Amino acid sequence: MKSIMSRRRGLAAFLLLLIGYHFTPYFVTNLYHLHILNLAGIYTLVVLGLNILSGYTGQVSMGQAGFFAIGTYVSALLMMNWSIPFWSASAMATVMAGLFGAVIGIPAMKLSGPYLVLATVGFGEIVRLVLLNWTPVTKGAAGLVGIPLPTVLGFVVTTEKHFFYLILASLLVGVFIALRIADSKIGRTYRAVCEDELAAEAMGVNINRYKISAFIISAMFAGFAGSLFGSFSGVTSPDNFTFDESVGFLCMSVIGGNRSIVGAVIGAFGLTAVSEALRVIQGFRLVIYGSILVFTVIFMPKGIIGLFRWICGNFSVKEID
Amino acid sequence: MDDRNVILEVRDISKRFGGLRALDTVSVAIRRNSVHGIIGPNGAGKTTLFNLITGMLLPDSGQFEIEGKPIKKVRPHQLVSIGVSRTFQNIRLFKGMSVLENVMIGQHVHTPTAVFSIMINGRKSRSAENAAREEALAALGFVGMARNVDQNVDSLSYGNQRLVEFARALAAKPRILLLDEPAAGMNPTEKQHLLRLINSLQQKDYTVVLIEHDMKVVMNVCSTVSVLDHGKKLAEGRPEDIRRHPEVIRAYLGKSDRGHA
Amino acid sequence: MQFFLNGLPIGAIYSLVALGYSLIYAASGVLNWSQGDMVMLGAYVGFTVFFFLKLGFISALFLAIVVVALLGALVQYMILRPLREREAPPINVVIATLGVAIICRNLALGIWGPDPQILPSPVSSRPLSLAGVSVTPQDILVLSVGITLMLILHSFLKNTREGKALRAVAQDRYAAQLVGIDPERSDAVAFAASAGIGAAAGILIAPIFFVTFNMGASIGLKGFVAAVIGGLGTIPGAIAGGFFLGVVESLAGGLISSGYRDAITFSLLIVVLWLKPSGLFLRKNRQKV
Repeated sequence: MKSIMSRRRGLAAFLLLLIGYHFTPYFVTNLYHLHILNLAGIYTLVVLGLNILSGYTGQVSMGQAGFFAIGTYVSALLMMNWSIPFWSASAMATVMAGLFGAVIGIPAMKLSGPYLVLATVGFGEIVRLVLLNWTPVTKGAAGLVGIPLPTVLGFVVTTEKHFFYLILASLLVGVFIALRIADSKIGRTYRAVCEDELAAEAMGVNINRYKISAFIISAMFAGFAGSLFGSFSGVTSPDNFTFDESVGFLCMSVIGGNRSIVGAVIGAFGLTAVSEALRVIQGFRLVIYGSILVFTVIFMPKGIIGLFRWICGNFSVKEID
Repeated sequence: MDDRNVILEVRDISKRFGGLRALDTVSVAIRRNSVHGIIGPNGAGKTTLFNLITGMLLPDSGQFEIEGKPIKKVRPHQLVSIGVSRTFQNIRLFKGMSVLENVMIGQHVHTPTAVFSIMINGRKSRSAENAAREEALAALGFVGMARNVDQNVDSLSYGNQRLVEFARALAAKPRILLLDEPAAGMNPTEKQHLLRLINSLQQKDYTVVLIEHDMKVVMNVCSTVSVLDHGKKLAEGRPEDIRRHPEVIRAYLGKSDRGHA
Repeated sequence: MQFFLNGLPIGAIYSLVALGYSLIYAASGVLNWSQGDMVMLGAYVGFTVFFFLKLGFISALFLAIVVVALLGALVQYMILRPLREREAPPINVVIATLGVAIICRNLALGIWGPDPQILPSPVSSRPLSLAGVSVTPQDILVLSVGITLMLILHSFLKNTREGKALRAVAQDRYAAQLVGIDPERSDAVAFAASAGIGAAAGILIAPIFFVTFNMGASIGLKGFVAAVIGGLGTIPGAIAGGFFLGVVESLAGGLISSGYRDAITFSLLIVVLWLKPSGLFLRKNRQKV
């Protein structure tokens, strides 16, 4: 039972950190930096879902940008064309993304390894290409302009600082839900399905249902994040949802620590920060970024959170005992 | 044999893999509350029989009945609710998970999955989780692994991994427990322990079917033994009769008569 | 008919890229996401040899193949071998090859700049009319060089020591090791051969499309799709898949809609994956329970 206790303590520390994060706008006064933090927060929501999908059930997806795009476009179009308020539009966008998650989850349950990866890549590309070509609705390559701002309790969210709190609140809820899923019977069953489908099935687990449900969950996280993204940016176009974007999400999940909710948060913020910090270098910035990816997966196979746990395991356990 | 006493009936099951007849019209009746041994040389079709019973393979012909009800086209995951659970010849634990977590997966069909309650950490989800934990701990206690609950299964010895798998199958609360070579890789002390466990299961109203190579185990716990060879049932009966059965001796030792069983 | 013919040269290119995927996947089980960027590097190296060293098209082709093949072997030794030694999970391997792709792409951007470059065709690009359909000499060149390369690869795998070792490793890595084959070396051969034929594909399409630093992404993805449609890990599958994809794309673009061409391709892919995960051109191998 000790491990559960120390785990609880770790989680509590992590949540405190997230709450402490809420004071950030008082010392990050540079609006651009705040903007990047906000983006990182939105990406984190996508990565949380992806971590459940790819980390817990082992279904690697390189098409999360597709769900993200569906969330953005559905909520933006609902708000723009039918003047539906932000929260209802966002909820519908989340559900719509979840439906697409189910649709792609059905062929996906038969697939694994490279085949599954390719199916998800294909899905992401199909979404992007439809957005690009379905001009009457999506305005094609030009994209949508003037996506309405969200309203919270009658209060219109306008500035970066307002968005910071909206995104932080969403993030807290997202992290809580993801932690609950991961830490419950659902998460345990996901891991079992990932480790040995046959044995899980012999223990009465309906593996298809669990595999599809993970797709739906990850799609809903991405869809909700997308709806925030649209209103946050005000404009959007298919260029925001390329294959590279999906790859970025996957890198965040793996670098932070696949199969760790806390790792997903660290990965999303960490990689966004690294990528921004490297802007100073210009020129070969992304060469270094790529090298960091390669270096990390070779020398930190369990991601940043794995390194963290290793350090804790080596130094602190003795004290506690 | 009294029909009402039969809990699992295997009727004329055949299965081919390409040109190989893995099982050829095999019938076995397993009596309630018995320990039924399935023995036979390698490649006799024993594990295939288990895979067919648990729905992991579909038979070419024949059928299974559990308590007189035919089970047809049942997906493997539905068998636990019917009352069948199993272990695997080549231990299939969930790697990277703790002993307790492994056994809690055995509880899967017996605890509700209250999605909404899980998300808000509601009472329903917590009480289900506690119930699953209690049941899993009880099963682990029964097999004598209660002290290792938080350990990662990868770090256990072979024999202990078998015991965890045993506990996981028990946590599924089966009426019929299928054990595929439960004693393989165990040392003599561990085997003694296993024999005691199987004996006490019988007293607890379980029906156990086990595939085993170790004749000592078979002779000690089984009330009935069926012998398979090349996909056919050679003989069936009490262990002491089977041991003297000429066909069985030939199947095991080949045609030469230098017998040393 | 015209659309069918138009699909063949691009199909040959896809086949070459698909061969790269399949060769590496068969040998080492790795999905190499940097394959498309080997195509891009091949095109750039060819471009440099042609314009700055002022050597002919044939030398450009050869030098590009050699340089990029060496790079491929380097990727295997520097990145994939350490991953395998550490028994990294497959997803880490995927991320590592994606990292290689990002590195290659941005190195190219740094060296050759963001502007698209063009490599002139060594043959005339004026279309020839033959029996009502038109083909360009460049198309014929692409097809003939492409098919020649496939034949060379085939005989390399069949007849040389390294090729036989590679096939043995693809059959059974462990058993190959027992008979004294170094699987890491075979992997390096697979990476070099894949990168080399990728580079050749890059030079062959350079006169048709512009050479840009990010051309590898889409061509790599198409090659991957072709490999999977044909049956990942098999040589005939990769070739058939490449031509099939080239023709389907050409037909979909010409007869249905050019904007939705790729969407149609990917939808087809998902249907193929769903119905026949082992590829269109292979008998299904049943997984052992």
